[in-house]
Amino acid sequence: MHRLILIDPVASSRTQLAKRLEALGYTVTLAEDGIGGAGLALADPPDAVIADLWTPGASGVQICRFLRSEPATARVPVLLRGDETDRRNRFWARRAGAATLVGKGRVSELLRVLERELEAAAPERDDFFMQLPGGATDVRERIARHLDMALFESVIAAEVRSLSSCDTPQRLFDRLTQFLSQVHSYRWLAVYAPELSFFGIHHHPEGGDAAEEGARRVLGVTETQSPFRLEDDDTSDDLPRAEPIVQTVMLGRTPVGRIALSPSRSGEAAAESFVSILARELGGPLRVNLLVEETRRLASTDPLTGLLNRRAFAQWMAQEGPRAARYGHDLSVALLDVDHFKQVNDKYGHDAGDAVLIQVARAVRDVLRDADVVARWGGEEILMALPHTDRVGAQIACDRVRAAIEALEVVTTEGLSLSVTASLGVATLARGEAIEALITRADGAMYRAKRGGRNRVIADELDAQAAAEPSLLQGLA
Amino acid sequence: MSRAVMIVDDSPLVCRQVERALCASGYTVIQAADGREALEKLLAWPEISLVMCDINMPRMDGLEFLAQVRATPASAVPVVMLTTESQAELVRRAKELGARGWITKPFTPDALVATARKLLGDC
Repeated sequence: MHRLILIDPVASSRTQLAKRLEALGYTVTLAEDGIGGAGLALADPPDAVIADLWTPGASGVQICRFLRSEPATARVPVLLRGDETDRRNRFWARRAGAATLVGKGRVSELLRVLERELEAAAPERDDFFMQLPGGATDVRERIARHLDMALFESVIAAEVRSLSSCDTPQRLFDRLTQFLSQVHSYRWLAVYAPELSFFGIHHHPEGGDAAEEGARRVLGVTETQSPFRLEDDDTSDDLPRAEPIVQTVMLGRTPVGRIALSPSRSGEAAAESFVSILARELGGPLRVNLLVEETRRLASTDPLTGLLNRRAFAQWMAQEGPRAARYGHDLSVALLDVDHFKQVNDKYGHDAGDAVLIQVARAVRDVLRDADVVARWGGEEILMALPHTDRVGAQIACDRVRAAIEALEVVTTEGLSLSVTASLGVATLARGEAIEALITRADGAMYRAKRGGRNRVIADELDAQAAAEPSLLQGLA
Repeated sequence: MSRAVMIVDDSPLVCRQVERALCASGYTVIQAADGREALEKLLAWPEISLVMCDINMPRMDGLEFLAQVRATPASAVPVVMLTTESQAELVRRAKELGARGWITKPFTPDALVATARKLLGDC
């Protein structure tokens, strides 16, 4: 038959309820105070605990939270008795994981919940027990330790949540590890967020490669993903003993990344619960980063072609133009215009025109290097910036682009097959030249390519003269 | 029939205390100084029907012992941890690995006997 522990400081109500329970066939062990009752429950877990909300030593809510956190009693249902009309009582009872909170007068309601709980808990029962040497003193100490732990957890949770203000994953990871390495000892800690293309690892200066290898393995990081490594003396350089702990970072039901931690010896015991807190709380900050990234992408790309938009290109140029000028790096710009684009639109419709633009954009992107920047400049114009590329190199690259477009076979949504060509004008940044002037020169060259019969690449004349000058000087010398 | 309890602890003092307490109540006690020795003895002595095991030991610790026992024919023999440790996290791991209970040191002879009676079903 079911065994119950009944905790109630008032003798009369205690014996009254016990009689009623025993009459129903339950075996009841009585306790006057919460601490004593909790000790009994740990040493020989009963099928359920019924506790008064107000018991000396520790409140029913505290006892409930404590029993739920102890492995020996985690599955024992706790039913609280007290004033259920008080909202705060109800809130804390629910938060502590109590099966119910019922008024002391409502015994039949209590019995109904008890029956339901015993039925639900039946298949999960185990008889794991825990004996503490010092009785009440030990229980009190454990409750205090448990409260400390709960406080520690909520502080970490709040701290991690506050990282939502970090708008790049790198900054987020840096701040996160700065904080975490102060409160927990670990060998390395790694976060992988595939959608953000982010893989961060915080490790000791010694053994960074081994840490990265281990983190890649347990997190399933793709080979092409480059790591963001933070070296730090605050991490431990223990030899690995336990396997890394891996958990999925969730936001609601959506996985947003994974976190792994290789525990140090001193941090081993608490590592699992520590990682759980992180996995639970890191979802929000990571999600914010995803949204920021998405917003940034939407604000900087052309929705049709996926190329950068005009604004993003201007931003890039404003940053890279002066840098190229300062360090004397070559920087070339090319403007591409699809030939007879208006006729495509008029003859085959705008869908066909869109198909042409999409596939021309893809061809340009495929031909150029990753470091080259490609943007949709206007209607059928594509602007390219080619860093570290001189006049000759730019002309070669542009001619490859021209040839790739000429070779294209654009298939429209209606299944029509079209071929197109493009005209390109190239200009290379001259000393002291403004970015706007450079683009204007590329634009001029492009128009000359059009006038010259289309489907060709023309370099701006100023560049040709500049290129001729050294040989002229050489000739004079 | 005499049923044996094995005490696994690297402290000879603890082993003797356990032996004294359980012998007085009629149990046979077998000693092992670490997890590896315990594993060997457990397989060699079918009489062992309960194991009381420390956590921190050289060569093979108590949790590793628990994990290893599971893969042997003796996997049904109940194991109770007997240790100074008491962190909930460790207790949870031991429970997950199949431990049947946890006695926190220092223990009383009565607690040991009660545990043996409970798990061996004697009265």
